[in-house]
Amino acid sequence: MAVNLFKVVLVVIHVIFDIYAEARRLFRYAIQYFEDFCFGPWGLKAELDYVHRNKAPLTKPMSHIAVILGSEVVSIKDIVRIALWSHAAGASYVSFYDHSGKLKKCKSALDEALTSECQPKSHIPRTNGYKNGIAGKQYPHVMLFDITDGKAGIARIARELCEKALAKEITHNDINLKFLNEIVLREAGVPEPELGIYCGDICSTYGFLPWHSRITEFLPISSHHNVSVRTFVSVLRRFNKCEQRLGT
Amino acid sequence: MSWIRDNTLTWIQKMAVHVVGSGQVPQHVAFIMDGNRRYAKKHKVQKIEGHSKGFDRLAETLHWCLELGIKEVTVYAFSIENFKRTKEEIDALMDLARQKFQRLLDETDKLMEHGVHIRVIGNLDLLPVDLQKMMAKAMFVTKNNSRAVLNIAYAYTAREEITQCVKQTVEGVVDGVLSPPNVNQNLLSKTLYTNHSPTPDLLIRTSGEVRLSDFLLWQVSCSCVYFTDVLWPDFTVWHLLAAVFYYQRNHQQLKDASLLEKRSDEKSTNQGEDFVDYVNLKRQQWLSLHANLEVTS
Repeated sequence: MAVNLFKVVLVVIHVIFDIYAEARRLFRYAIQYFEDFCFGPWGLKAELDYVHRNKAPLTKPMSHIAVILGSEVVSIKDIVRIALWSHAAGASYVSFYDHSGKLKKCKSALDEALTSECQPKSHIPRTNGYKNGIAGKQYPHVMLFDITDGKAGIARIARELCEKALAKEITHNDINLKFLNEIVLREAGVPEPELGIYCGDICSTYGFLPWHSRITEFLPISSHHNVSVRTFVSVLRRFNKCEQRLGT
Repeated sequence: MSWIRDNTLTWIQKMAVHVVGSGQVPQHVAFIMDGNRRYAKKHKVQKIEGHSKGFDRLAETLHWCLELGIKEVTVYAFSIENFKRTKEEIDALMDLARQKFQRLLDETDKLMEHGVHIRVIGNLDLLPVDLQKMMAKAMFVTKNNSRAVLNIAYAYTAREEITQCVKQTVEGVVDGVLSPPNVNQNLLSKTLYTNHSPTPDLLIRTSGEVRLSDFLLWQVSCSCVYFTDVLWPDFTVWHLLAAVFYYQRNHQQLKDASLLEKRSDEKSTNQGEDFVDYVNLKRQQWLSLHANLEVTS
């Protein structure tokens, strides 16, 4: 009897919280819509200018921004916007993680969308390309990952190392943290992300590159669908306030 | 202060624990207990005082977890990166650990009565030998308990754990115990320091930091992560209940990812299982060897 009563109370609290969370979401959406309507910026070019204008006070170095899509449906248009904003903010690499692998299947559509937004056409950014070279300066290295790149990627490396040890190319004593770090970072083709933006209410890595997420600061956006550039810049500002102590 | 606390909850807190506990409760919760030093600074006391307060909070938290029905808890007590701190602070932390593990060994009866299984995860070879022996003894004495499990990550980082795991796999292949086609994600998961634990359902980090700091990076792939601003020594049962409530609201969303991970993972092979047994046997040998040596503090 008492147990049932506790359950009823818990369900009621969850329902109240559901209503509150939904109201808060709608309120925020309305505010964002109002701000965007009144103050802009409108259009990708204006958005990029906005990022450029607002990145001056950001003092922390940032080479890689990772975006974890979580359970959201992929929106190519918004991924292109975020990729270009991230690059404008100074990140050479921007990666998008969709554990289900649906985003990877949209690679050609994404390439096409990126191409149509970038000028001049002679330097076309391609996803999961340009592991080396100058693309990071002129255009972002856009990388797409799914669940097979995380732990499974490390398992693949372990298997290769076993084969190398059998072929006497290495011994097990060669394997240390520095050695493995170089291989894992090289295989993934990206440095450790300083900033990980996750979409939705729940914070989880969803299996995002485990080796890479050691010092990543995880910050939320409510959704990547129609995300506003103001929200993006506010995430950068929050990131800028995070202090790294690295154990000391 | 004792590891096993008597009830410290007020009646209203008890009711709240019953209410939240009547829903889905995470079976395994991991904690990054951050903020001891900031607490010390805030209260103008020595750093070690902050750490000591942090331990007291841990003992209480373990009690709350048991009350809620959380069966397994993993705590990040000391990172390998912490060896970069001043010698004075490291020495004080090692002394605190000695004192707490001695206390734990003194109250073995209580641990047995509550059925608490203690495991220390990390590269224990990096620690002073007397501390290694105390830890080994605590693990050895409680190894058959199963009502509740406390994993203490000491001299731990996830990258070091993965490195050791890959290294021992390669060693196994060279020794002829294993062949490369049997090496997969499943095998690596079963030979990490945490191989006897289910993956955490919920990870709680205190003190407002929003990163994982090299803790259980492999294991938390499908866990709910909860960041809270409170400093660890100020952590209360209300913060724990808020974290569990957050888990209850969100854990369904992670089921897909968890299923996908299981589906994409290759099954372990017979030879792989033999290798897992081989690794476990080696660890047990280390444990009984160290546990049976006289503890000198």
